[in-house]
Amino acid sequence: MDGNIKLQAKIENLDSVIQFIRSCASDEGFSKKRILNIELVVEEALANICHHAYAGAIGDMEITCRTDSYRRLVINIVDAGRPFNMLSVAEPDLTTDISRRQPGGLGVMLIRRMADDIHYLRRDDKNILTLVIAK
Amino acid sequence: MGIRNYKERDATIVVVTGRMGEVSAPEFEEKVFQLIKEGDTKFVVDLAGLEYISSAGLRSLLAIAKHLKEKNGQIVLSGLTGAVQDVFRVSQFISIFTVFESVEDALEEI
Repeated sequence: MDGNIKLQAKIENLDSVIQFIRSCASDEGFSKKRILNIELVVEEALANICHHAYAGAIGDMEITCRTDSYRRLVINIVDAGRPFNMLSVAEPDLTTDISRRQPGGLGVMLIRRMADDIHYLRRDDKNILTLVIAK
Repeated sequence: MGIRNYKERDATIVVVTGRMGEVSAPEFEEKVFQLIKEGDTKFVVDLAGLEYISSAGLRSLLAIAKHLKEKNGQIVLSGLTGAVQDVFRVSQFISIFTVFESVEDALEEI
């Protein structure tokens, strides 16, 4: 099932997108657990957009979902906010104990570790993030 | 997300079910901070019924753990399964929290 959804980049809209992604993945035969992994990477990417892309202003997020020739799920997430390439974000230090552990960078790290492939493109003043998840 | 709490021996058990994401994590954090304010210092967070957690949930747990450490309190987790366990492993949060299979196991050790 191919499809797309475009909504304002607000946290209260995350649920609608997650449901849309869940349907796509389910239609393609992904397991329940894998679908939860997919929902996670999408939520993390969208949360970044909602919190940071538009610097307090209102903007949109557009998500498309399809499969590639390997039957992997290919999710494109587009926003027109300030340039942000998550691939260039440093990983948080995961070796420290509770008192020294920092909260930042976790979302990006989870996306990197749980998606099978990630691409980023800046084109026409838009951030285009592509997440690929295999079964 | 469902959240309820009860006392057993000298610990406060917080049972979280459903999903802990961007919207629900702050509710969870607020609830536990409230319990700490009311004097609870020893927590077992039962995640057996939690099917999903995002970085927002991890950040809430981290904030709670840091706060309790300052108060010489304690927080342990129980019942990590499936996708929640994946997230804890990938983020290495599994090595900064003490994790038990069940609430009973946790209560025996803490």
